[in-house]
Amino acid sequence: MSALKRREIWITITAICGLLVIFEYFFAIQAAKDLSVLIQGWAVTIAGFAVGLGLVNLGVIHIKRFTRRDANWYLSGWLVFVMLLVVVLGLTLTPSSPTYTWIFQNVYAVVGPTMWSLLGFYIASASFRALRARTLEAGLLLVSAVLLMLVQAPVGALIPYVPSIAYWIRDVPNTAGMRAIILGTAVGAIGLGIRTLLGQERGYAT
Amino acid sequence: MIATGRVFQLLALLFVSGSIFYFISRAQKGKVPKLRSIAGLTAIREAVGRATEMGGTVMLIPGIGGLTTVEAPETVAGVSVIGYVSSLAARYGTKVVSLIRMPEVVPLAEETMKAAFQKEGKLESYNPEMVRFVSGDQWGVATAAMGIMHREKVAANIMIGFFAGEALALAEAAAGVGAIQIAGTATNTTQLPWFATICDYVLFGEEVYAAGAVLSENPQQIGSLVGQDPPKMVAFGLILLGIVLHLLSIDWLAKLMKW
Repeated sequence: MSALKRREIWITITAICGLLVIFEYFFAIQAAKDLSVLIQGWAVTIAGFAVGLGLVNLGVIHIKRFTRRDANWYLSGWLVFVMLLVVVLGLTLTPSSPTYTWIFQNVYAVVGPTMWSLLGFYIASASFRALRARTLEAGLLLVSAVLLMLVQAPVGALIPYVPSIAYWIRDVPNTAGMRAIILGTAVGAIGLGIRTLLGQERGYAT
Repeated sequence: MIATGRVFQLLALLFVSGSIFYFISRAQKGKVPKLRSIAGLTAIREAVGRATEMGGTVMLIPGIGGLTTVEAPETVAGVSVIGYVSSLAARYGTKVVSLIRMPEVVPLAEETMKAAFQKEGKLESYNPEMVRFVSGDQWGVATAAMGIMHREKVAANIMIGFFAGEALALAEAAAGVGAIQIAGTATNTTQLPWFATICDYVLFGEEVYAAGAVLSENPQQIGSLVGQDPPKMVAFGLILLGIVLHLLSIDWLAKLMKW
């Protein structure tokens, strides 16, 4: 086996980089800080190169679909055309040019908020399914949800006890539950970090 | 030499790490503890089986986090699940597709899926189109996933990783096509209510990080999971002690934690 393919080498490099970043966090040593910043900079640079990899992945899949005339092949062709157009415009005109900015502001910038606004409808449909009081737990969920929704409406503040009960539910049991999850999550993350540094967390199949 | 305000944090990290290493070494000596079963992970086999029977596709989304941010552990956990599900899909001949938001995750997911097919002796069934980078934007991922769910007859939707506002849209769209759903997220707890409301099975908090270890059934990895319990018990004790000391207006524990 080639030396570069030996997994011990990669695990060792991962462990050294990981331990260095941890060391730098706890110990005020300038040399360690400089090295840690350098390594983290490399990580960001490598991730930046991966954008090109993503574009290749997307492009190859849709060019194949277009040339094979798969189902909806014209959508794949449109995607590749628009992707190339934006890349070429960005490279030739620069992203600060009025044309590029116009595309961004009038296409991309409006799509995001549109999707966000769809969440209002999804919340309604999800709530309709969830808030059926078939069990004690579902009943508690229903009562809590009604109280918290009511307190968000102007009329809710006028009903005696509703604001205080609703905010108590939000601030005490809800916050306690969330913090308990986060506490377990923090310990779990350390466990996963150790498994990664030891080279054990490598995916199920590898 | 230790940075100001981080002495207690360092001691806590050493304690947690020490406990995990201790239980890993116990497992290496053959003392493998028994874990409680996690319903969401047990149900993965059922979900893949259902998709196989229906001739549908299994959709895998390892979250929208990358590998260079704080969401990285969740992404790694999601990729571990991709490996397990791909292995089952290869065995049963089920269609599988993984959607990726952060491009640096693409090679990791591709390699994991390919290795799973190779492990099952079905490398010829692996198709590079199974792992798709769809968009660098969270809503781009959501719209792509929603379209694919309808076009490719998704029968099982498995979402384990870091999710944000798109979680609800993804879960509702999958519910709309009648897919069995297993979802999990760790750090962004505000998305958990949506998953709990819509999905059939939910992993939350550390269950997400434990997924890879549980599915691998590797004794050392299982040992590392059990090693997380003593620190949690100590943390619980410190919380109770903190409440009592606070009620007595004694602040030495709070000062110790800021040491």
